[in-house]
Amino acid sequence: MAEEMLRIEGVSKSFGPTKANKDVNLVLKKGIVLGLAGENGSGKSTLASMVCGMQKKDSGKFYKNGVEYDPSSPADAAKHGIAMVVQELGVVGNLPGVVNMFLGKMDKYTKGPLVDLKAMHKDADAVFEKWGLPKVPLDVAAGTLSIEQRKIMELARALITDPDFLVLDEISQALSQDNREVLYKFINNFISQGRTILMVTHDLEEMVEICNEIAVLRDGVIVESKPSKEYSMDELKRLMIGREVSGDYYRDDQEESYQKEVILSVENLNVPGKCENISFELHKGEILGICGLSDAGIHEVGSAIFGLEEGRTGTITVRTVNKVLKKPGDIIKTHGAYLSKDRDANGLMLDASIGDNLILPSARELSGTAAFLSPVKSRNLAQKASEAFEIKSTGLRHIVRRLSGGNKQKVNLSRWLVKDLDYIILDCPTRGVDIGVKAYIYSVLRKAKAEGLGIIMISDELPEAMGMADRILVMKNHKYAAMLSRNTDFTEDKIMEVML
Amino acid sequence: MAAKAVKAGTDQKKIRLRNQIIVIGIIVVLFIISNFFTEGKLFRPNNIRTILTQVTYPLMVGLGMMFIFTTGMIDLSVGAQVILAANVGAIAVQIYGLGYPGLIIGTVVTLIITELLCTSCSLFLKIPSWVAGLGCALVFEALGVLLVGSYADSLGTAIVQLKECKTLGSFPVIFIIAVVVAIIAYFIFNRTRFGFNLRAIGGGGEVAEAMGINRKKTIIMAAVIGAVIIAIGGITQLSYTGRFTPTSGMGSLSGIFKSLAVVLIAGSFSRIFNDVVGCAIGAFIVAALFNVLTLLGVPSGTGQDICLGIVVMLCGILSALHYKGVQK
Amino acid sequence: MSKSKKGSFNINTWLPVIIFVLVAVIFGIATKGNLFTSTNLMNLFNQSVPTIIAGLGMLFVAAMGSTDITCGVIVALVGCYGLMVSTNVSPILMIPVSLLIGLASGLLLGYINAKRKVSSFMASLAMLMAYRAVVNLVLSNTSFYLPDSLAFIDSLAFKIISVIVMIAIIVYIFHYTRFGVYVKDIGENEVAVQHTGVNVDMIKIAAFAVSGLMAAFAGIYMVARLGGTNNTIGTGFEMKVMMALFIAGVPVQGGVGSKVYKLILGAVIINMLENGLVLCGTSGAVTQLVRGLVLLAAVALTAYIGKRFANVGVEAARNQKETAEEASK
Repeated sequence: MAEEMLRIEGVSKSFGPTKANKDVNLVLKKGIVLGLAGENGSGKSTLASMVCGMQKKDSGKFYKNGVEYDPSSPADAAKHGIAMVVQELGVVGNLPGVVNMFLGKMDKYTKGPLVDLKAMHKDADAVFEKWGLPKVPLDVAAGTLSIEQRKIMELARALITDPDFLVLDEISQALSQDNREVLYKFINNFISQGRTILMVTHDLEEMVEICNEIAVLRDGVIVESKPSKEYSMDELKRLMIGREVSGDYYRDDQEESYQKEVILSVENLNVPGKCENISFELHKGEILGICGLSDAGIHEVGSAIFGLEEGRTGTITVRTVNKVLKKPGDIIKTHGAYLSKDRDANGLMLDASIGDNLILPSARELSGTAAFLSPVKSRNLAQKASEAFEIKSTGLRHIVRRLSGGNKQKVNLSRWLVKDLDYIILDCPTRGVDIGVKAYIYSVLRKAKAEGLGIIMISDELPEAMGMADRILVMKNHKYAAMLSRNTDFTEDKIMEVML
Repeated sequence: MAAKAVKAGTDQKKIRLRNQIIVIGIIVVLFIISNFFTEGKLFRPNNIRTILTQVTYPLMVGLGMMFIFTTGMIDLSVGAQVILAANVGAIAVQIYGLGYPGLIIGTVVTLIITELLCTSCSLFLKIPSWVAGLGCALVFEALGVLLVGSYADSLGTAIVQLKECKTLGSFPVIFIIAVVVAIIAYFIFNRTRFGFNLRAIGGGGEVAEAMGINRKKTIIMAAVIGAVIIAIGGITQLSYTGRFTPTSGMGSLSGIFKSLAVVLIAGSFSRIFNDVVGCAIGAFIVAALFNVLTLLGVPSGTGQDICLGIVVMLCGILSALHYKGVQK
Repeated sequence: MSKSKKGSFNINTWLPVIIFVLVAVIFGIATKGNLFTSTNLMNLFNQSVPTIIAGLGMLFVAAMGSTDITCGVIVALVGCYGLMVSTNVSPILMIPVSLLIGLASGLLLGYINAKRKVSSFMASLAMLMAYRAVVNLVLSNTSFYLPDSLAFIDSLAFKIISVIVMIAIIVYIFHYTRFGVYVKDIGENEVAVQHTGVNVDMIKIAAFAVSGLMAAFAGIYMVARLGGTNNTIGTGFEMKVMMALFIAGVPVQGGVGSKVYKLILGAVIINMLENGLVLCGTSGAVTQLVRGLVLLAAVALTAYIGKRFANVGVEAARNQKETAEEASK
């Protein structure tokens, strides 16, 4: 039995009402790669970021080499030999790569008043050399590098402190096939020296291949942890999802059901570098799921239809009124709506009241003669929306920032659904809401579907899409991969197969 | 793959170099055309001397402002600060007879204090930096008027005239000082730990803080270094013109408008030139432009100020050319 | 919602009133009651009118979280070119020409900020600079006088009526129309407004246009009050208007906390402050010093209060309880 490197004991973390991690216990031995598997929102990234000091844990303990370890920041973690390549910690675009690599650790290179750039370059090159990483131009601004080059640079930056514990969060997604090979070689080399890697990846095949051990997280709890050889792919998937797909709160019918009338038709939608040649039709009373891995381009399809993406080409026609969408305002004028994934940044006015938020999308319909926006009418509308959606608050003057994630989403959704809509595009409508509100939102969507609303549901949670959609459009690498039907194709295996 | 990546890097540098040559080429051509329009007056030795003198103040104040602005603090009380500080220096020389040490220490220390006060307002009291700048400008202008009023040469002339210690403002000393300051600024900005930390804070505060950089400390350091550079600009300008007339009602803003244009020009060149080099080029453009306007007989205060306003606006538009986000 | 609920006390709502009473009492005592003589109250009214009128326009810009510091120089442009036209062509043209100047300037600033993405503060600063020079082009060696036929503008009756009408119109637009709602909501979250399909750029341009137009109205009153113009008219006026907004708790970052009544109280407060200082015999420099300190203190206080006591009273207690309950679930 190898010595232990890091021990995680009873660690919990919650964001408001959501528990991201609940009493997590895990031991990482020296010389292994441990993979964290789990659905989106299962808490694996939270766990990883607590280990590397990006976030503070609420309770529990970490032990590094048997000594208690409580990092206050990533810089502090680095002092304890823990380094990371995570999505939240990017590069500073306006600084050269070499400076990025040594940011916050330049003491060693300060000669008199000046920094010895040559020595930094030399040491940086040495790191690339030592670990066999492909060379990246380090003397130009990091912001001008490709995403792949930046990732490699971030990996090199992490290795500068010569860590014995490395956290890799979704690093391979950005890499091309040949650089993935380089990465795998590096990983083998790294652990062969008795060091440890904690790896988070969506690519399950990669995970089974690379990792010595896999821990499966579900709803913030570790449900299984054992050597990866002992998992079968099916078992791994089952553990991740953990429940029957046709759960209580999803639809119980197993067949497509929508009317013939087409509401929205999208032809050859293209956004350079984000999505390519996407075509589909949305019918009246249909829930059309759009699924794919995190960077497959599914979210961009939504914002492109709304009109926010630069360089969009293709034709989007609203059949009900025979209008082609051009500007962001058009979707509203054709009785449509778009709810962005990032509710707080793009949807709500957090420091305004519930009432102010509820009225915003309907201001056009509410104004009467002489552009008069009647306070009585506005209040009635807000009242109606908040009652219909059972928004828990002390009243319409309640500030939105103080609501829970679920109630925020209710505000966000209700203000659109009280309007007379033909179609709606929802990007991750249940992101960051608790299970109760989730079920409530699904029931509302079922009702809206029955009333003939066309719904595009972009989702990175597969069970949700399978549970709710009539058809699912699967995307892979920004491209159309398949259109699956509820009648025959809705099995985890089938979708995963197209997606990965 | 690796070789390709490195080659892409050298290609990038080549493109940058090509753009640099193009920009400098355009500027040189513009100078030559202007020389033609001014009937050769532009390139006369005397006039070049004037330009080289006039370039110093906007350059140094612009450099100082750049250090402060890079942190995200848009502080426009600099104009009022420099008036107050330069007059403290002048009073130290003329009234208390402290000579050069008095001039330099008086000005530099005053400017560091005022700049730190202003920075603290926005750093610790959470006042948006431009509002803090305006509020502080009112305060420092008033202090300048009160101070000078109590020390003025004689009743009626509300200025303190610097009659001694004027070597720093004579040509070529003034230009040499500016060049030295610019070179030192270049090294601080591009070759020191502080410079990298500063640019990291300006370029991506959260990443920088996660890498262990102390944001508040870096901002305060930037304020102090910026203040020293501006103070040197103030001292040389005081020595050159002999006085800094106190203003009220935000009149001090117009005194730093050329420097503001310099900073904005550097900003719009930031993809092509290093910021400090951009400042130097901007300062030459601004100084030459106003020199040409003067040679063409455009009066200052009217025609020249209109041009200045337009130049600042165009520079603002240029530097925001690829900006996609929300702009308040 | 705008209607105040029974039993709730919101410090944000009452702060301007408290400051108002405080300043009135302090200067009432310091000036030994001279602040409240009928002549001085009349003075106060006359000084406050332009501040209120220009502030009514600037409120739209401030509510978006943007800045327009051109109002002082628009006053000067109005004084210069409005009077030039009325003297040389026809007195009656003074008003339309002035309003056109204000409108055009506002539209230009709005375009540069909304479409060209230049910070409104920087852009209006550059415009301030250039306009001042444009004024100097004409006024450095001449001055203009108000034609007698326009003297009615300064009469008390006309002023009271026109000011009330203008306040009423702005209250209507700002609080009871879609445009007003959008302007405030842009201050809260511009991207959210954009996501509801509103053409944010047009709203922004319109708001700057209102600001320019109202600055022109303020200029007309100021010129009428002075009976003519010189090249220093309107200097520092933009700071006064801005302080009128901030001193009474209109948030610097804009949003739904922007209210017309706050501005009106703020305008009176700032004029009372200056008037009181003058009555106390302080010099111009000291007055400016106090103004600067008051501006900093007011903005810092609003920011502090906005964070700490957003909802004082019964409602806040209930909110906190609710949040705690939700968290414990």
